[in-house]
Amino acid sequence: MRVTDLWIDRFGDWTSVDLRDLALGLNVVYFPDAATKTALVHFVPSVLYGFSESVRQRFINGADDHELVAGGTVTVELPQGRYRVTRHDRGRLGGELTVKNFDGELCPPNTLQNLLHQVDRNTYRETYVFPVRDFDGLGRLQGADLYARFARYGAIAEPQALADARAGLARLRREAWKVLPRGVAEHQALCRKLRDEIQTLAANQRREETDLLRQQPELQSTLNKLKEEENRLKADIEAITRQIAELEKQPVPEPAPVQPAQPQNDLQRRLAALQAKLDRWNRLLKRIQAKRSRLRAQITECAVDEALWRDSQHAVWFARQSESFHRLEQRATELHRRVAELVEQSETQGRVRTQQLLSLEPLAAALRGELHEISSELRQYESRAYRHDVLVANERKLKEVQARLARQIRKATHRKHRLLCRCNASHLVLDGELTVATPKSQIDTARSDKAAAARAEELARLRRELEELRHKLIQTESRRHSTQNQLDAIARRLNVLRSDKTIVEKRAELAAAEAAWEEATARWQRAAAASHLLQATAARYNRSRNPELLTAASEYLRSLTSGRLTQVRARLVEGGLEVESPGQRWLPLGSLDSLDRKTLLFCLRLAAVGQQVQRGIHLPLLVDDVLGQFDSATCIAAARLLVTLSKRGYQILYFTCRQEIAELFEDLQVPSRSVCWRGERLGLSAINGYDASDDGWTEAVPASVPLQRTAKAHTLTVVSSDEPPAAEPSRPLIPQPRFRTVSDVTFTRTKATAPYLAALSCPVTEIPSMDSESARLLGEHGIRRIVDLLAAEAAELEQRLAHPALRASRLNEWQVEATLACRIPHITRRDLMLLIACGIESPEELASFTPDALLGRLEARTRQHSGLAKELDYARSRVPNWIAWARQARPLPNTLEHCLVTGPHYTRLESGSRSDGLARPSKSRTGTAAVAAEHTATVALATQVETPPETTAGWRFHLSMNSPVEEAPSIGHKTARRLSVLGVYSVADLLDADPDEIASRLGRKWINGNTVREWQAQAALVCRVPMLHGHDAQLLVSAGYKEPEQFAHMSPRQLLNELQPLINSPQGARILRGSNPPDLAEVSNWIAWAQHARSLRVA
Amino acid sequence: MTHGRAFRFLHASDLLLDQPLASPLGVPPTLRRRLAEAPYRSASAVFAAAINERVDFVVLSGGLLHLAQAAPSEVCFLIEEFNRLHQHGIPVYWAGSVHDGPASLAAHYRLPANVTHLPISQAEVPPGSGLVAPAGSAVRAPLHTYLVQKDGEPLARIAGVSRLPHQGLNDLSFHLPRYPSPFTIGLLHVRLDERVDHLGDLAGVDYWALGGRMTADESPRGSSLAPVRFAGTPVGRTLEHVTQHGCTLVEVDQHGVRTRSIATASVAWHLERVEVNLGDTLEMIEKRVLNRCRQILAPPAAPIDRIVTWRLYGPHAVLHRARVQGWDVQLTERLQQSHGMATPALWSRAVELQPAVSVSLDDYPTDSLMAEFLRTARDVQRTEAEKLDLQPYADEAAASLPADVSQLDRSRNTVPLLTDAALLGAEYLHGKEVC
Repeated sequence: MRVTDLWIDRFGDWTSVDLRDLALGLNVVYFPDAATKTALVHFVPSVLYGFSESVRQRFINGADDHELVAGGTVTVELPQGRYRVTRHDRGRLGGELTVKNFDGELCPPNTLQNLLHQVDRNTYRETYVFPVRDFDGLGRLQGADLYARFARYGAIAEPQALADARAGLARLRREAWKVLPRGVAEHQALCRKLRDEIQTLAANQRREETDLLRQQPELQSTLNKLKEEENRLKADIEAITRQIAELEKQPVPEPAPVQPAQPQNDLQRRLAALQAKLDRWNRLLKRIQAKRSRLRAQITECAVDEALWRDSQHAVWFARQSESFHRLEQRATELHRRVAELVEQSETQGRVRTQQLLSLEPLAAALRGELHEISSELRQYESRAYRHDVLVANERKLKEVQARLARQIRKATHRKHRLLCRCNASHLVLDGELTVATPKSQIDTARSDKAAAARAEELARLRRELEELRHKLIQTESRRHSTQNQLDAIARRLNVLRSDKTIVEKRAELAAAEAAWEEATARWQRAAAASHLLQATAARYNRSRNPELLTAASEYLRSLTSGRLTQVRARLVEGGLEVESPGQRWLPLGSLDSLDRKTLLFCLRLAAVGQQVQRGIHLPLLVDDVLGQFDSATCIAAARLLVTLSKRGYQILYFTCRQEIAELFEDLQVPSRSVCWRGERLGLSAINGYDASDDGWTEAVPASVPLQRTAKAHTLTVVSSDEPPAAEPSRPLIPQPRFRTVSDVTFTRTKATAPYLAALSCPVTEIPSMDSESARLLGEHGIRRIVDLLAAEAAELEQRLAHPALRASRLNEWQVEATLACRIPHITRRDLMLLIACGIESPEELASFTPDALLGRLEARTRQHSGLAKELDYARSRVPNWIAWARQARPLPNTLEHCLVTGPHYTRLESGSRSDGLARPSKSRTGTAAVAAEHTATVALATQVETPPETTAGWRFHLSMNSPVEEAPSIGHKTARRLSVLGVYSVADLLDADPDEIASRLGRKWINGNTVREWQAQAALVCRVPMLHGHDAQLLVSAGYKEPEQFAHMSPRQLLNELQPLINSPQGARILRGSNPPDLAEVSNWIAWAQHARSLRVA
Repeated sequence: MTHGRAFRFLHASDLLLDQPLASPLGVPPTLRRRLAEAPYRSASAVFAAAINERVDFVVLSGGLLHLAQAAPSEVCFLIEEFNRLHQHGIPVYWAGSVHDGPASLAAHYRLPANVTHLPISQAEVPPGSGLVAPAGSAVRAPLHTYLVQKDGEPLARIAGVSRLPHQGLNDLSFHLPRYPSPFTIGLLHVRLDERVDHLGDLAGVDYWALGGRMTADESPRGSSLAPVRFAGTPVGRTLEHVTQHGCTLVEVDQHGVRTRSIATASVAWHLERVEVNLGDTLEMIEKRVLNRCRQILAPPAAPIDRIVTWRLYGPHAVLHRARVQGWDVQLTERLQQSHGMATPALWSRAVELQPAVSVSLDDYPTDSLMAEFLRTARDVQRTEAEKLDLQPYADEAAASLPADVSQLDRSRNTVPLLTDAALLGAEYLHGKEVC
């Protein structure tokens, strides 16, 4: 859309101003008074989008006065016609809008939105309107404010996306460890502990079981022996008991009559009784001593040493333990109470309480465990202490009894000695028995006593023996019981061991812990690896790739700063923009001075407009006096840039109040219109090539190309300067959509297809070392595209150019650069610079190198040119890639032919002159130029063969069998790539392929055999019929006309009627994609062209 | 193949009594206990199946227990189960793995008389040399053979060995002398890295009862090939074991060999995939999940505990938002509360969200961040997969990670991880790029 006329009625200080015939290119409007131009900048957006409140307050006075309604009209032109957009402020927001076509018919409300390509007010204001206000004070901004000023262009929206993703992944990384309730370190420690515990527990249990099983038979054997001993003792006891009973049954000998005066015998009896008592007490004393010894041993076994027990430390420890125990008990009680409360609350408050309850569970478990440990320790301690007490008490009692008995023994011994002294007769004590020498007269009595004594002695012996046996039996029984108890304990312990599920629980606990660890680590690793990929992406993106907006802005920036600033890119990690300065590397926004910031903003905004243009949205730019913000050099460069853009088809309305700016544009061959106060039109300078009767289209055409308008033509025809126009009238003029024709020529910026740095159809400015001035000079001599440069002979071109800076050697260098850039994939400008420095002239030469050899050559060049030294490290990492890429270099012939064949429409009549230029390779050319010449020669030869003069002379075919398949109708970039995987690279490959096989191998559900057949028919039709376009072929094939012979002799009306249902159908709309449907004239052309169809064999 | 007298036997392996289930976090104590006991319960179910099915004998293909590291209770459990079979007169043939061979069984354990624990086999060496042939030598170790009889008549022949640590299948001799009994059962435990495809073609063996795989598997059975079957473990241990687990009942008669799986797992692992459509609200998705819960528990489902992982897949717009909101975690908790506390339980382990993101470079503009990300992911997979240092991404919570977690190298296959990571990164970047 372009604005052709403005009629301003009461807007700002303007009343009834009529600006007419605004051109498609650059329109400079000069205002002597600064106060008046700003209103004009805001006028167009206000009419197109309505009067905002701020606009109303600023520029509309007396809005309530209905007789003097503020507003105006903007007349716009589109391919389908002109429209008058009128808006007046009626006191309400937005104002009153009417849109009329040029017949004066009122258009529906959504017409304006369609005219504006659905671009909303904000986008329009931020992209197409350049108010000075945006540039004012830019140097003072810092931090977030500065960031915000640049953020609106989307140039740094990428970092936000990246930052969001990074933040999200960081959250995932953190959350990954939440699976482990105790944290990473503690969980690892827990796993280790559990593993050790399981290992130790299993080993201990196995060892204990082995020990128990080893003890078991030994104890069983002991038990058996004890049982035998017990039986033997019982038998002995029984025998002795029988002996005693028999002895007691024998008659006791009569004792001699007791002599009254026999004090000696009485003393002896008393002495014997005393002796017997002494013996019994001594035995008792020995038993007491033995028992005390046992007690002491047991006390020692208790391991509670008396001294230690009395030790205050021990008591303190015990007290502390008791205190801890009670404290823990209190805590446990508190916890139980809390848990009970939570349980109660959980019934009413649901999951939150349950979570709290669950969170308390580990704490409670730990507390319970601690409590249990301390309590069991205390219990054990208490039981040991109690047992110790009992033993000590028993031992003390025994000690007292022993002392008492010793006293009694001492007394009895003393009494015995006294009795012995009282005896008259001499006496002898042998072996504890009293033998008394008696007088002869008393022998009988003595014999009788002796027998009784012997009997008594025998009885006593037997009884002693019996007592000993019984004692032994008791001991044996005790040992047997003990052994039996041990055996029972072993059996019980074995049972416990064999039914112990502790290890099962521990293993389960470990498995759960390990599973949690694995899950957590897997989650973390996934998030961390994703973060790593993002990090790597950011680094790569920072390093090599930026959005197209920034690439375009970089180009402008380089131009405006004369290479002082070379590139702008988004900082994906840190956010914001940074600018490359060759000396100072990358500078963040904050470190730029005011001028550089303004320049950068200007470039970014122009790049944003360029992006919109690439999307097919053409709206006029309204530029306030922004150039006044720059220094003189930048101002001139910016003005040149605007002029260049205007030549590319941008409509720019530049409003200035500075005379020097207006004069600057005058110098650049862009005349200005002067508009003075109150809208009085003082004068309109003649615009170069401007004709008041013209519709403005001529502005888009480069000045170097002369224009020619045929009287009845519906479109503009552009011819080459050295092409006689007389050759043209023999062919019918092609009725094509005019706007599209122009846009094809001027709006679409030819772009290299990834991964190649350049394409043959790219402008020569894409050659890395090509400066704009040289490009301009070349352009003046018809060398605008790379293919033009490659096709030209350097020496001849040098003569034509006749410029001291454009020598043949320089032209050759550019040709080499262009060849390498077009043919070698993935190569960068930096790579190219190094390769040229190495003297590489073709991909084939590069491919023949080994990495070491190439590196050696580069090092040799480095020694000659010290400036390359810093690039050596970079080159080392790239050399293998260069060689690998060179081996994948694409051939030039197809590409070259493609470019020549599919050139812009306006070149259709210049084929003769171009082929003349292409077909003459020079032997003196070097390297690439020779290759290019060879290729062009091939093209020329092919042209001779394939275009018999009687049928196709002068006709251009938009497709040949050698064309890349991507050029065929209905085949897009993606489909072409998929087809290339299947070995279908060219149209010939497509036509030769089996449709069903292709469809099945493509594996896309929307592509079947019939679809591929249609592609083949469309491609064949375009190959055969001259001038026929892809979408024409799509329409014809869809309507069933697959061969030119089918419609070559039809009447145009009949063919159009046949096509009409298809055109009106959704399928037809898809094919036309918004362009005008074919009319009778166009269909007539098809029929005429079909009559000149060539055979597929020669296509 | 024909056989004189029909018989049936039970084939089981990999009881793995010392490998409990990976209990998910947060399970209630009762369920945790049941999960801990699941290997025992399932093993008991195997022996009970042998009794219920009145099999003629049982073959165990190893992997029962790591005998050298087992606690007494674990060994005794096994012996008790053997005793139970002994009481029913069912012989057991047990070919051990490297961990449960006869040499690993402590001497004080006495296996019941019905159990034949197959010994190891070593290559024969010249008599009197006193040497043992090294593994991999030309001399191969023969299989031990046992004749299974019933009522004085031979039923089948068992041929197998217990495995030695460094003894490969190539070190074994599978040449078996001809025997009047037509049916021979090969009994072996094989390691994960050992291929068994060729066993079915070996002459002399009619059925290979193998152990060493967690899931049941049977090689294709042709007319001339003997079936080669892994019984699998009686109960799955992790999410990967979502198939049915149990033992195999093998019936041999004049018509041939028929196998039937008997489910013994007391805990089942489920991976439930739920499709999410554009326009679905989170409530609708949750309702769908709850409906699926009810379907799983509805009769005739076996009354066993189930651990379910929900995998929701569908549009990025719905699921990524759900992930950012933490809805997956909340849904997991709600499912655990609603179905995880009952007996038997349906415990939801996790709700995994898989938003659909295209990772095709064709679907994104060349200059977009997404395209750059995908190219980077591809390049990293090609170049950096050999060594991946993730330590810089360790957060405060996990500042000191062990090297096996943060430093990944070629020994760990990092390609799946990087693929997952690329999907995750793409999910987060999706829809954010401006180009």
